Amino acid sequence: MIITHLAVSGVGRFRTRHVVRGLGAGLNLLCAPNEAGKSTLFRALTLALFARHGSKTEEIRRLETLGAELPACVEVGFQRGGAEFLLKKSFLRATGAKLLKNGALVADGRAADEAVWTALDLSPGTSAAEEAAFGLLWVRQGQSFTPATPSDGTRALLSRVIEAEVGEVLGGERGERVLKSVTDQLALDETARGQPKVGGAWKAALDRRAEAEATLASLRATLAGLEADRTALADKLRERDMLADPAEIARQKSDRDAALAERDQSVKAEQAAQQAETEVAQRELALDRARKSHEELIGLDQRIAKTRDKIATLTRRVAEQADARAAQAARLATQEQAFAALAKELAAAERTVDRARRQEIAAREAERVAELSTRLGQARELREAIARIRHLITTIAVPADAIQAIETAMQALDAARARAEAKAPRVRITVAPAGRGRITCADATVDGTRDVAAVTPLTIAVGDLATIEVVPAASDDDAAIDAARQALDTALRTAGVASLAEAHERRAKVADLQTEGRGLAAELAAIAPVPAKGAKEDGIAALERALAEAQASLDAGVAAGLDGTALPDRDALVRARVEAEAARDRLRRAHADAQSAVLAARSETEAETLRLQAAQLDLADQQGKLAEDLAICPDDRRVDRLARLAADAAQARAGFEAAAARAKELRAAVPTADSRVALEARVKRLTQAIDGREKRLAEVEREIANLQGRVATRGGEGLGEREAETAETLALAETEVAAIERRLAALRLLRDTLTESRRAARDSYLGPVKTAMRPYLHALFPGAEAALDTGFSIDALTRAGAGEPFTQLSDGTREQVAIIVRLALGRLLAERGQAVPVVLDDSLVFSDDDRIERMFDVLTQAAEKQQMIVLTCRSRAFLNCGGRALTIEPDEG
Amino acid sequence: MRFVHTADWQIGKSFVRFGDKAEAFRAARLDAVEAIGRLAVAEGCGHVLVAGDVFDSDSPTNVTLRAPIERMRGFAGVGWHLLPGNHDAHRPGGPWERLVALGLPANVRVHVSPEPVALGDGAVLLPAPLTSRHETRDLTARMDDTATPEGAIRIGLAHGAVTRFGTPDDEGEAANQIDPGRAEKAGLDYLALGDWHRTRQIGPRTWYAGTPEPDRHDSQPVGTALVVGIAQAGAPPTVEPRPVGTYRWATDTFDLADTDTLAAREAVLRNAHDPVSKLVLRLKIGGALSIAARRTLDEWLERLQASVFHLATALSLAIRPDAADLERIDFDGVLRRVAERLKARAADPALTAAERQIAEDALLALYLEATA
Repeated sequence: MIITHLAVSGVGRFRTRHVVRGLGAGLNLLCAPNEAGKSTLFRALTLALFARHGSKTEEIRRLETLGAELPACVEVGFQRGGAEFLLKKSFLRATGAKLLKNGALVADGRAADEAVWTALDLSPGTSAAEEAAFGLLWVRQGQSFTPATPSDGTRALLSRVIEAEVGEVLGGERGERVLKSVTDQLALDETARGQPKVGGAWKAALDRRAEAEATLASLRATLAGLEADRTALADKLRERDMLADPAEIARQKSDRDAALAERDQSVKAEQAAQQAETEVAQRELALDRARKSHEELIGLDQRIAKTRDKIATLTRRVAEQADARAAQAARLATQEQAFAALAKELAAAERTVDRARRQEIAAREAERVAELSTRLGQARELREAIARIRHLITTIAVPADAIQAIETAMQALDAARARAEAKAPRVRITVAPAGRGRITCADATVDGTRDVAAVTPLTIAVGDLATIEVVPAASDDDAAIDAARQALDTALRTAGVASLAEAHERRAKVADLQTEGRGLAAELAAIAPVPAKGAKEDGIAALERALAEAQASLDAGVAAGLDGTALPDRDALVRARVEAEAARDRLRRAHADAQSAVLAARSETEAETLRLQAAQLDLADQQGKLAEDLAICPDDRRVDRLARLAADAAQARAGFEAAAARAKELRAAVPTADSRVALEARVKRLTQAIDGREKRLAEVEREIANLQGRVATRGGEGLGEREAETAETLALAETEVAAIERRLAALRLLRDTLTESRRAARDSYLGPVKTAMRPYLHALFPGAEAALDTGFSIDALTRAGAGEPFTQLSDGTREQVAIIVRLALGRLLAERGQAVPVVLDDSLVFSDDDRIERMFDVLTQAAEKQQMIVLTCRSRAFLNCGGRALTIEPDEG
Repeated sequence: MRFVHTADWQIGKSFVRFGDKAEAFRAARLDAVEAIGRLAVAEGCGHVLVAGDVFDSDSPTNVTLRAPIERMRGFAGVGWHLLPGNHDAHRPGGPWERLVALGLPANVRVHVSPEPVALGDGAVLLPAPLTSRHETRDLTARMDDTATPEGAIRIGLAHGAVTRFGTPDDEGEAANQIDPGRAEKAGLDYLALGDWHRTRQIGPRTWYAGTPEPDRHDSQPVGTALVVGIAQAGAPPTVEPRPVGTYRWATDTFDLADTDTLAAREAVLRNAHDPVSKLVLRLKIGGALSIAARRTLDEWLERLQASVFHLATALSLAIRPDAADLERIDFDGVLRRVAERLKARAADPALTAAERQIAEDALLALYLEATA
């Protein structure tokens, strides 16, 4: 179909007839400002083709020109199937419809309405463009953003077209229904993640199973407890029967009573034996006492005799000891006298030795005084010589700086003279042989040739022939020479010399004196050395001090006893001292020996005294003891008493021996300790066994009562029945779960297989659409792919490998993609003989400059397959769109 | 001497797996007691010997304990002799002590010790009560040495197994074993046994009574009790099995290749188990069916379920969709391809049986959805 003509009158702002000029195949572009009537024309075109002329819908009423009572007339010319059609419709007033084919009227009125649809291959009765591809491809103002969602009719048309190529692939309505039913069934029982869904049969069955499992476990635990109680009860009953056995109890008591009787008999025998043994002990005690009394008296008698013997012996010893002590006292007195004499002799010898030593020291000090006096005299002479040399050096010495000053002044004088000489007239006198001797210059005879500088007025006498005076010119050099000379004089005066040579001579002399002085000083140091480094006194002072000390020592020796007479020689003095010391040492040894003898004698005397005293004490002690013993039993009564005590002891022994024999006899009749312990243990064991049995019987009775109570209580609960019932319930639940899970597995498999098959089919089904769309899409988005659903709606756009849901694309991109899908569907139809013009009313409003240029390419490309009518108010933006330029022009014809 | 021999009442069994039918099964067990009482009266039997497992567990509720006793109380002329079995072994604090404590009617006697008991008419009962669930000794052995008056009819009453009854030999030593030759060895005129839920004669004088009301399909079709008559000591006993149960239990196992035989099979069932309203039926069906045939089978089973008292089905049917099945799903398109894929998966030998089964279920679900 190609629209070739469109004219309106009484439609919207077109009160009079207006025609759209330029319509034809390919891209048609109508650029007109807002409110120029583009959308009105679009609406008029749609209504003319798809609305019944007699209809009064709101959409048709909107065609009316406001304020005018005019019919809304629309003329549409189009080509279809090689024929030229012209449709004329009047709406609202003077309604009518005519369809002309190739200039001939083919239908009128309602027939014309339907004939148009027939011509366009629309279903009979179609009353709106939405039901056909027009609804998809004719995009009204503001609708270009929405994704292309074909109506059922359009989808059917597209499907028909596509399925002509790829066949029935999607399973149609039944396929949809089956998938929905399966999905719905699964959704009842499981969540989207395949988990049991609350409220579903699966979850309920699982819950029932879990509950049954829990109940069964609980019941079995309780039953196990019951079983344990029953087992325990049986055990307790058996134990009670055993414990309550009367024959066993009687036998046990009989054994215990027999053991008790045997134990009593044993105790009595023990008591009798113990009593007899007590008597034996008493008898033994009496015997001990009697025997002891007798023995004590015998002992006293013997002790008195022995004491008397000791007293006699001690009396003799005291007399002997007194004699020995007196002899020793006499020896001590003798030795003490000898010792005193030796002490006197020793004191005299000590004094002799002392005097000899003093004389020897005095002689040595006198020699030292003489030697020190000599050295001191020499030292003093040397010190005076050194002082003289030092004084002379001080007198003639010329300081080095003074010599330096002289030399400097002389140099200045020489320099001044040299300068004056340089400036002075040079006079050369050459004496001829004839004039020899006759020529004098500055009072000196000149022979031969002489050069002279006339520093001062120079008088040359040529004999007496002439006197020539050369006078130099006045100059400052003279003053300089004078000054230099004065400075030299001053320097010489300061140095105390007449010339520089004298000054040098005097410095040499000083050097010689200094050498001599150092030699004298060395000699002095040898004679009178400085005592020590850092000492405050010099060597002479040290000599003087040593001399004074030696003199003092000599004086002291003299004062100490020397009589002032001349001392013998040193050797004689030494010999005298040695002899005196030898005599003294002999006396010392004798004195020491005497002293030792005195001390020994004193000790011995004390020892003799002590021995005497000891003997005297022993004698007194024995005499005291004897008196005590006699006081106990005097000599006259002792014999009778001894005889009586001996008789008492014999009687006590006889009583003791009789009691001991009886006790032994009774002890032999007592059972042994081991057998008594064993008997006691037996009694104890049997008593405990009887008590334990009774106690245990009471416990078992209580335990039986408790167990019977528990068993009765639990037994009445019907645990066995409930356990069996719950086990069956669990089995039932497991069967149910298995059945449901099997059913769900089957449904999942069916759903997955359906989904997978549909996906594969859809890819095949949508292939033609994608093929048609691909060149347009790639022109705009190179390499992009669009995902379509089976309703031809676009789901997403994939660019650079990343998918973007359609709803998240920008406004401009969404509009562009939506238009591309429409163009692709239009192309699909056109290529399969179902061409429908694409009409875009005010589209591409959000496209930027780059995108809109590429969209123009897309539109141009699409227009090669189908007619494209683009209505826009954006004249400047669409300047580069190309295509046919449409105009709206009034048409009087 | 005439008496009724019965066993394995297992009063208190829950039957939870039968859902809302459970109460009916429980009630039927008590009804069986009354049926046995009526049988004893009708046959002139002065005693009913119950050879163990009167109760299903050894810890029933008091109501459960009382319920059969109250039924017995109504038959005052009949002496009821109850023996502990392995389900209700006599132990301290067990059901028998509780029962005695609750009070027994004069015509009910519990035998919890092996002491011989005179039954009158010159007969002596030699009971062998179990005192544990698993007794390794043969408790009937003492019957050999138990003396009875000269000329007395010796009747043994015991609960246990005389054979493994098909139990594999490697499952260890069987509990509660009874020598099958005990009657001869102990000079018994009759040995009344319980434990085996099928009525079965072991020897000329040894019988299992079977349960009076079956509780599973592998016992016997209908509950039975035995009417036993012994003319005198040493005379051979006469034993007559008599039905006393309410429900019939049956199992039918067959394979299907199509559903053409279902009608005939149903007719046979109805004939054999009239009225089918008391039939507890288990069907084990194998074979392979097309999906459409499977739908037919399901409808048949649904109708059968409405007819019988209870229907349990164990289907090991393979689904083998034919061309018509697949065309009914779709001629082409996704559904058809899905069906083809599921069919291939259901027949894929590389998959486990469970995975193939799920594929079959999915295919069946697809069929039901697509053809709904």
